[in-house]
Amino acid sequence: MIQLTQVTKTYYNGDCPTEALKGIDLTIETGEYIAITGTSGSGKSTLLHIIGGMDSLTDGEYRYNDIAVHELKGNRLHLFRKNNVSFVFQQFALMNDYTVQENVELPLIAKGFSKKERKRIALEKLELLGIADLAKKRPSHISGGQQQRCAIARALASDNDLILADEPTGSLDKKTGLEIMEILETIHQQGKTLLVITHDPQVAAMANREIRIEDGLIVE
Amino acid sequence: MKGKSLIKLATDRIVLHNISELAGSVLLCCVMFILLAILLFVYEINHSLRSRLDDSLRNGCNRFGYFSRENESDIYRSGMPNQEEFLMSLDCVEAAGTWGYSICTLEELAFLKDIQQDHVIMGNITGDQFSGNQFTDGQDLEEILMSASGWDMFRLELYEGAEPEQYDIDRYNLLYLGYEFRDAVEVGTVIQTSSGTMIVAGILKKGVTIPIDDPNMLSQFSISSAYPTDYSVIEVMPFPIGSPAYFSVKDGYSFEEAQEIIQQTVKDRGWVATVGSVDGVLDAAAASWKPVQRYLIQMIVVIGLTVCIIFSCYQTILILVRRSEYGILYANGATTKDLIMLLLIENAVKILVAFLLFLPIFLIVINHLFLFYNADQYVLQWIIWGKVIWKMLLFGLSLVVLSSGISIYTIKQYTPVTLIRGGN
Repeated sequence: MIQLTQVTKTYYNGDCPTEALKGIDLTIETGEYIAITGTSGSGKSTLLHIIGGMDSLTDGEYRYNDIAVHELKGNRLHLFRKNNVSFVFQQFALMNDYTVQENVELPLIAKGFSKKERKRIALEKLELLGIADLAKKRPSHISGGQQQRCAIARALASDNDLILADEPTGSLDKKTGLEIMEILETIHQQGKTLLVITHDPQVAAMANREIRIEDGLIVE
Repeated sequence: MKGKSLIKLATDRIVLHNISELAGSVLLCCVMFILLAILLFVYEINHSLRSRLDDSLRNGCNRFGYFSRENESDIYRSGMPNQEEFLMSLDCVEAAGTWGYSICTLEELAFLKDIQQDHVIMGNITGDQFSGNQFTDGQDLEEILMSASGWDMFRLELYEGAEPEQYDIDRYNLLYLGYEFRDAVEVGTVIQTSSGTMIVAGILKKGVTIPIDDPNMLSQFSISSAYPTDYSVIEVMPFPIGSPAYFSVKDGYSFEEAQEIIQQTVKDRGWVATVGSVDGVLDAAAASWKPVQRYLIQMIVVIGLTVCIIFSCYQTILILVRRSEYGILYANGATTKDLIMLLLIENAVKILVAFLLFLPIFLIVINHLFLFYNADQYVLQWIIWGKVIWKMLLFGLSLVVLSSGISIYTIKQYTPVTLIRGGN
């Protein structure tokens, strides 16, 4: 379960503070599928990054199950992220010098899996996403939709319970975007907690719940 | 992350990225290593002259002098004591003697050549070819002839046997063999030769050195001041070998006091002689070398610092260009410690490759820049491996730490979020 209590995030540009989040209260149950919507600059990505441990909050409390994430700093925060959270980004965030398979293996390297196990798990996830035949190709040699499938396979490979997707269909055409969302829906049905930032109402409609953020606050 | 994984990730990042990046870093460091090593090598050659000579002398080189009397052979023939006998007659002199290199054509000692082989002092070795000079054509045994009264000038420690004073020097010519002969012949073995009776009087300890045979000729261009004796055959004889004679000053006298006594005695006897200090020779060599040494040190510091700065900046720029990759690694489970290790390993690999490239180039350059007597090779190997190479390794390690430190500091200014966005 994810519980945020009066979470604020302030950025400082020199002496000039910018409040990205102004006191968020939010509870997400395990296994929920949440769509986070809002205008540009409303604080959606900031919220996602705080939940994912990619950024620290300025004030408030963030609890993930029994873990007081707001008290974690430095390497302990990184370890929390490694063991609990997987990401899917709008621009796919793949390593261009690695093959598709090697990209999927990345989180498994961080978790200390053996070479044999990494290969097995990576190919299994690629098979699940229908792109096992692309295992030896570089990201620059495959389509956007295929790259996003690779990114999702990477997120699945680490077997973390929480998957955060920041505009996963933002760089894709409508048809491909829908395909990706169907894949994420399938993942959700396997019991993963899924948070998706989106501008697309069709994508938002696929979620259990929609959270709208305006100017750093939850409005609905 | 496990060590193996970190090394794989680091080497992947080096190899998979633009190869010119790797080549640039490696080339820069390699050139730096070569320049620094040559400068350091030249500096150390001169710097080591005094220390190596000191190590070979019992009383040190500040109590070691030379004496050369005009018309020596005429004076000796007239019944006067020879140079060594004269010096030994003075209270201020501890020991006095002469020594020099020669070849031994005695068949009875030819078996020693099987062990000595090419480990001679006075020959030139170029690759696999041995070319002799006036002392030896490579076939004959090279030996050091030494007057018995000079033994105590040197620090010739024995592995086995006894010093010359324990033997009847009028009955035997004494043979002292280097450490590598220890299994070839027993101490005490008497060898009858066509030129007299010899006895194997002792085996020298491993690593013992003996000064070159003309330390008064040392200059800023000299490479060696003492040679190893592990493969040497020293024949100790009851008479002088050549001129000048060298002497060491007794405890209780300073060199200046001894020099004054000798000069006064020479004057009283109506002779003409030169009395000099080997220390003075080294001081003169050092003085003429000082401006060059200062310049070399300045060059070393400037080049070292410049390359440190350039390499560190270059590495940091490479990291900034690829910062989104670090963000991806963060997002996929890497910790800050993992990234620090990655940076360290990446820099260490580049510098190690540069070092391995530099080593053979440096050795080839040194071999071609300098023409050496065989014996100089020992000194050179000692300087190269004992003074230069390990300092280059140390410098390389410092460069790894410094360049990684700046890179790590740079990366830490970014959060994982800003990294993955490419720093925006």
